[in-house]
Amino acid sequence: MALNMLLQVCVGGLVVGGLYALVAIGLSLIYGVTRILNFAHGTVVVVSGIAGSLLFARYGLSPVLIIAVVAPVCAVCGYYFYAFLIRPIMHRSHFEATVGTVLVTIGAFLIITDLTAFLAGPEQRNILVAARPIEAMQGLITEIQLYVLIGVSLLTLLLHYLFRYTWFGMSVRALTQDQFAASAYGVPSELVRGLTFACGTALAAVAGILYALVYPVEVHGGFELTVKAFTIIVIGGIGSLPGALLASVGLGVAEAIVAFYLSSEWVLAVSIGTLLGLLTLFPRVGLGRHH
Amino acid sequence: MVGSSMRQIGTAIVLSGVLLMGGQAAQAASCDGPILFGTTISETGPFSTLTPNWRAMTEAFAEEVNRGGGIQVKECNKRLPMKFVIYDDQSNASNAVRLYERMATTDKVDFFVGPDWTSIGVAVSNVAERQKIPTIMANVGARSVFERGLKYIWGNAHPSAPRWSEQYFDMLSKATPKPKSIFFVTHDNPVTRELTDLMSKKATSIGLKIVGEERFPGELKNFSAIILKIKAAKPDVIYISSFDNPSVPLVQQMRQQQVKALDVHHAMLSGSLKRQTGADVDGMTGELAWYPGVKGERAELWERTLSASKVDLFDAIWSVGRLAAYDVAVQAIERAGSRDRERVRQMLYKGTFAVPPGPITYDETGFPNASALTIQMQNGKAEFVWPPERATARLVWPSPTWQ
Repeated sequence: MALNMLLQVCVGGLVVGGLYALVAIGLSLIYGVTRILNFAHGTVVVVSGIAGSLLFARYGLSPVLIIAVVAPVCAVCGYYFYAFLIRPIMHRSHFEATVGTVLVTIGAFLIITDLTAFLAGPEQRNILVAARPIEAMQGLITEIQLYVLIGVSLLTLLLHYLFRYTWFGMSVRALTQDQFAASAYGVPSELVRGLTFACGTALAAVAGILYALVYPVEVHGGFELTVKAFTIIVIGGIGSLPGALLASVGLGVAEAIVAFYLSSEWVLAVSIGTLLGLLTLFPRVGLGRHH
Repeated sequence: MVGSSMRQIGTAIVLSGVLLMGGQAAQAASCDGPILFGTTISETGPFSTLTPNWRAMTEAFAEEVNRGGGIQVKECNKRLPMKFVIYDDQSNASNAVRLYERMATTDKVDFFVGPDWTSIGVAVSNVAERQKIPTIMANVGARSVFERGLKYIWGNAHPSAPRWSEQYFDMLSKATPKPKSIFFVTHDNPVTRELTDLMSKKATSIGLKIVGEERFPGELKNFSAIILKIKAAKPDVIYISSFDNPSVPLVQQMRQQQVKALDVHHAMLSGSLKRQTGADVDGMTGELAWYPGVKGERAELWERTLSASKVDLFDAIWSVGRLAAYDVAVQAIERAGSRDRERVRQMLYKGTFAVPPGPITYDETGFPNASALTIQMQNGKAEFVWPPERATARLVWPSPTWQ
């Protein structure tokens, strides 16, 4: 394969991988702190994309402004979703809490999906902005793809700063490593869990809007994204944000290369094949696994 | 004890059989009440994107028929009103099966019209066969559904797969400069795979060299690998055999990657694709069975129905298959002169049915023979360009936007 072709394939893979990363990081963050498998996460992504599409089509808002509106709303919803629906269940026995949270998030996924289809219509939507191509190194990248890549990179840096240098980030890391010890040392675990849920949901909202800028979103496509994100966080190491980022980008590029060398029909098998291979051959290894 | 139970069960079965047969005979002879048509629409679930306002369209069709007096039934010497029983199958085959069973046993419908989509059609065809109810399905397009020796199903996909791009290939054979090569990009789905197989033969028959065929799963978002292969093959014509929604990123990325060709053809070019891709579809060709304003038999009935229900055939291309199913059902009953299921069933095999897109007939398996016209997107509008005698605008060849 010529170098320019490889670059072209990799650019497409990077964009997809970057978007996977935003979805997966939010999910990983929520799981790492709250130990909740949030089956409604992908649905938040597509609903935000649909909301973004409607705001863009009806009011002509810029994507940055749409993010500024939708992400905080989703963060507030995420916080109260945790506070009112999840937290009460967490005080029950381990088994009841696990099953209960799974049922609540699956219920939320179904209700949000149907409600969105009812309110916004079931049709596939996107944020249709002009995508002028830019020629670089004998390859082509569109302005939108470039903005998405920049956006994903900036968010990654912001998250890195947030988790490395702020009180909230340190609390999140402490809870991820040892919930009992963190609480014993004065981390307000309930507040941090609620804020983490809010932060993860806001990230899903940002991912949804960026996603709708590049690819169409469909109200029933949320579960598919959730499954993809679960696969990524297992490959990347559960609770590890750098691992999730690495796994997402690696997966996006690997899918693109497999599509070129073999066939696009094999793309869906890449993530599940990688996951099965990793779990079977290296059960204790993850790209960013904590020990 | 066991013997007694067996006798009771046996008696119950015999009695049920007698009652069922009696019920059918009574129904066949009945000239009272409306003729009941049972249908399901995918109003929710993944296929709901394809069925906007279909409930209203279905009810409007019945209203229009009833406004004309109803369905003429010769053996009753009068017109009987048409009435639909409609349920939402939630885009789910097992739901659809349950609902069709219910319509057969509880609602006691005379005929089934619908469902749509191959996955649901396969499942429902077994109910039709078991209940012996003629089922005039709508958008069930895969031939494999019909090649199972069933006697109670008919399809109404518009166009039918073998004739899908018939007019387009006729147009290509007469176009100047003449295209020499073609590249197929196929959505991995039974209908679109079959379409590519059939259209590949048509392409070869007019002397086009097939320089590539790529398949993609419906979930694929990054098409860069396929586009690089297309660019390497340099085809004159790119034929996209895909449902509209999965191919949105393909069309967008083909534009972004500056793909060039004499023409890019989309087998299911629709308003939904246009809405999501904007100007990217301009210059592309596709198929559309019919559109209000274009001449055709019974066009007035369809136009009134579509107008009353606010359904745009370019936005909802599958509505043609639905309306055709309803219209064929009405015509079959009128020609049979009876609401008797067996007589209507016989008539469905024999007749040529007039619908605005053109006459429709069925082969011995119930598979339809229906055609479509070639459209080209010109200045944001779908124009019929082939065949010339039904064209609303002149074909622009080669497509200026792909040069």
